[in-house]
Amino acid sequence: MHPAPSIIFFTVMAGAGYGLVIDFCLAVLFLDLVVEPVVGAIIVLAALVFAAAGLSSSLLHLRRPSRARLALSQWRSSWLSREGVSALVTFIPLTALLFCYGLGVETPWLVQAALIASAIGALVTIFCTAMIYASLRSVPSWHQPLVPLLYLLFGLMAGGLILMAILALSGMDIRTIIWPVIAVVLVTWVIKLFYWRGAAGAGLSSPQSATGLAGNLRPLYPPHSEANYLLDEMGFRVGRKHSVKLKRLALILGAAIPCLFLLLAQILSSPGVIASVLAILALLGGMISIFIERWLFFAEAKHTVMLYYEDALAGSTSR
Amino acid sequence: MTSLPNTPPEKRLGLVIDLDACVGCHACAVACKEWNTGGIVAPLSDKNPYQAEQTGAWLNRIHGFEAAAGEGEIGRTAYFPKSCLHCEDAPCVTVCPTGASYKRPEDGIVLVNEDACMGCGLCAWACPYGAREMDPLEGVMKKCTLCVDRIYNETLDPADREPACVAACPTSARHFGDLADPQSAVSKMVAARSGYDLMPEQACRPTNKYLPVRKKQLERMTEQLAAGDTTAEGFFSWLDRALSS
Repeated sequence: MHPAPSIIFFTVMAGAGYGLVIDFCLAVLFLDLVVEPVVGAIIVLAALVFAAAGLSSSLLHLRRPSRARLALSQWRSSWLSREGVSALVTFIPLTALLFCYGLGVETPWLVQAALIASAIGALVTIFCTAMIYASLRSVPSWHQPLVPLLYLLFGLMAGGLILMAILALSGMDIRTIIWPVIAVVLVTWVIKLFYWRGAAGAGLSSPQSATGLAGNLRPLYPPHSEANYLLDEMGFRVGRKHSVKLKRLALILGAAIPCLFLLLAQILSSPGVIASVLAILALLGGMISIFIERWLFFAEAKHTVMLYYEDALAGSTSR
Repeated sequence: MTSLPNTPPEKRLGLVIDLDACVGCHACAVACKEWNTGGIVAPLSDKNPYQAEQTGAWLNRIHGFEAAAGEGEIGRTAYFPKSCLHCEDAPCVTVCPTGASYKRPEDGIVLVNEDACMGCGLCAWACPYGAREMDPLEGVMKKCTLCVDRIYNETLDPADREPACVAACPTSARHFGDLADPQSAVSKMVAARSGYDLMPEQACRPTNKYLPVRKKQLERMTEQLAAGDTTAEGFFSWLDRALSS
């Protein structure tokens, strides 16, 4: 599939923003994380910025962005519509939370309610984002339960690294949440490796089932002499050419670097400049790795329509 | 609503495509392009139409395959026209976030309301057959309408109220009719020739059917010879018996 930059940016950034909301909620509820109102406001603001940047980027993919508001209408049947509705609805408790921290509202139940509502909205949103792709039977490598799980995990991973960076920069001791974040990073990549292993599977359909013609099939006369929309959207092949190198790079940047730097921060203890630098480097490595992972998610995915073109493009690496 | 109709449509209008008759002339694709760049989906545009690197939206594509060309097999050329199959469980309809894609409950035709399409392209991704193409200039999704503006068009002569591709086919490889009615000509044809669905495993339940290639004369003769079939009749039967005695 064509790896459109607007969609890659959308899924990575929105995933990170909503993942940060879930991570922050979990850290406050279960790891006894206590933050100054200013720090809380910065965290929520960061989540809003990431989510808004991602959602705006998704509009760039539309040929008719002026009609985007219609996309909120079909939530009964369409995962894309559900994603839009859920993403926007989640902005309500998030904005409430921002006001609570920004205005220094100390009412614990109000803050907690806004926090939990935001986290649930974020969870639903990430799930819907993943289901846009996981619901497509026509792309076999996407049509599996691992896809929503991985979207959630990469969101949690990015969110965890953002949370660490913000806490470290505001001079807080991040050692209590380092281990959970490392655990999320490791689990995420183990499951991603599992996905990479299985994603090359053949899928349900074959050139024979696609045409009903028996025996070996070889494309003889192409249906069109020039490029067309189908080949531009679904005939992308560069992904398969470089995938091994890119996967290695993603694992170094996304698994090795964050784990190593966070462990260093744990050992070197004391909050300060060093911990901040380490946390920021871990975040940078993590985010770049997720961009690579997401590029491969699209570039490597094979659409069933290519069964009609099989071998017609073999050897061509320009698409 | 981009939900599918709750009750199965009364009529299931669709095409039956005879792979034994198709000669791959592309007349159906050209007739489709011509009609639909002037019909209700107009314009069906092209980018750089009269120069290099042209690309455009077509609603019908004809592939040519070399089939069964393995060792010891009789190879043949198969032409394979492909357009929207107007599926019962059309995934392109349910994924549409804006309500632009819909399936008509009255006759099962899958259409796009171009005024509501935002050009996200998700429906084209959802279709396993590659039946939808984005209009490069209009920025909205285009697809086969089964020539809904011909088949119900009372200003046309009744004989012309069929899809442009069917009317254009010089070898009668394309047939149009109601596949929900077992008595219709197309349904009878499907029953007699074992018409089949494309990619049944994708669970889209397509309406359009394809008719397989008939056993070729050569294969039939080969089989008859192998079975020692000498049922000659009339003069040759007498000659056969006379010479055998």
